[in-house]
Amino acid sequence: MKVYLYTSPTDRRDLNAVYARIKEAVKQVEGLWLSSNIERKEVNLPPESLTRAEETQTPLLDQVDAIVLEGSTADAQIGYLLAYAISTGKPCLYLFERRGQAQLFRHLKPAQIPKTVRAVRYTRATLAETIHGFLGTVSGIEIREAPRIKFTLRITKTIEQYLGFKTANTNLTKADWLRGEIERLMRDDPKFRDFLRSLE
Amino acid sequence: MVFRRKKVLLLFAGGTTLDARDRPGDSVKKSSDIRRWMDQMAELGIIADLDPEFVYGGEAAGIGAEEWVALAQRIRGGYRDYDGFLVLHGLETLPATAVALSFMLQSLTRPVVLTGSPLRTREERRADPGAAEYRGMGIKANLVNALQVAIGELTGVVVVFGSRIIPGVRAMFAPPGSPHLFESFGDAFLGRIDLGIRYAPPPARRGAFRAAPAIDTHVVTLDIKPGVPLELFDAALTGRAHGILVTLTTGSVLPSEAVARLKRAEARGVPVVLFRPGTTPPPRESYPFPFLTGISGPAAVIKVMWAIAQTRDHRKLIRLLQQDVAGEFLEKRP
Repeated sequence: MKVYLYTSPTDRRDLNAVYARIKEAVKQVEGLWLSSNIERKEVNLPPESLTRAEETQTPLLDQVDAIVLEGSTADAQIGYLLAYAISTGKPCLYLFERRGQAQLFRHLKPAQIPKTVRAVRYTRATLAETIHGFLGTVSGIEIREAPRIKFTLRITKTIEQYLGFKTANTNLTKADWLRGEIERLMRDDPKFRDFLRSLE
Repeated sequence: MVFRRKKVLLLFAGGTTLDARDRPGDSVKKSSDIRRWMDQMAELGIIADLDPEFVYGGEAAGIGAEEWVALAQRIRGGYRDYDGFLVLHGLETLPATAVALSFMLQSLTRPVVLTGSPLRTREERRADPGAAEYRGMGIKANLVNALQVAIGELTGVVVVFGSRIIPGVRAMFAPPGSPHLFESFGDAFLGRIDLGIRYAPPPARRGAFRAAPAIDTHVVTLDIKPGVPLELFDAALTGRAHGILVTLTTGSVLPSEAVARLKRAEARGVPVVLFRPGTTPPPRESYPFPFLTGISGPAAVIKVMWAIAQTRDHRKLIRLLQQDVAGEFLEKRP
């Protein structure tokens, strides 16, 4: 999957920190080619995409599968990319801060915004999930957050036997199986969902 | 950070087909078509505030002096009110209009962008079923790119199509087989479109904005080949032409009898100009007429048309022809 991420240049430290988190969340997707104005090398596309663009003399934007925008600050480039996504039907995720408004959408009636374009008010807690959910929809596969935090857990011999029993003849490691069980508990826990909302 | 929304005058002069099915609202053939067309391109309103106006709705091949003057006068009239101008135009004659507007609107401080739809209406397909269909990028994306250039930092007349931004005065059709539809004479590009609009360093602009929208298209072009009887050119040489442009390509000849006939036309007050594609001028003593070289073919013809409308004084005309008016020459000139 090829994604273009654009964020408006800003002096705001809080926004730059958010941009870094957005970039991190996007990069967690395996097999993704990320082009972005906040990467040292803005254009990062497979050679065949570059060749196709050269042969057909079409803009490189035509070669990306999805566009992710952080639109909290006004920027002519954001408007351009959003208009481009709408005119071409290219999937686009337009993120804006929880206190903000999706200003650019006021120029369109709801019926004029295609389903491929989503404007989402985000929080720190929901940012990664929102981005993975969008990219998962684009790619047709479920994208899961990559585990990054090391956690040591002492277990009994019986628990170890149980983990071996549950993962035998599967592709899962014992750690994978445990993570899956915890994620299931999280999904089915309404009090935890309320807790996440209280962080917004 | 707040940025000011820009205001663009959107002029409809053909080249508006959004869908080859050509349903109501898919193209603008008359003024009343504009509203439905704009509804289909509502996303343009994200980029800029647009004022749409109808100029011409017929076939591209029918565009000429009347439409060039109308466009130039409208742009001149709206110059202080708009940040940029976007002209939608049939592709067949888009380069000629871009060249004409480049001479008519000099030292612009705002962009005047021309683009058009590669799709043909049902009538156009019926009229010319054999013509090739352009299979590059979609028209809607092309319009978005063109509008973004119309609110950008470029100044002057430019053509935006595909991934290229071409100076209007250098715009020409690319040769058959090229992946491009248009190319720039001398490979001068003002930018390209990849993940956004990337501008090249702009050429220096000289002087204040000046509009000179007069043009005289009574110019006949001749290309005299060996063996062709000169009598066949008499109708052109003795007729109602207000100017004569003689092209000297490889294989062209200018026998002394042809020179004599051209001198007679000049004596009657009809300016004669020679044009040689490329950059090598012929020896001055062989040809007693002013010549143009280092300029594209379309620009040579239209420059003569524009110049003879500016002055009838022969010396002033020659000076004007040899002066760089709009960046039309490959080599820098005063």
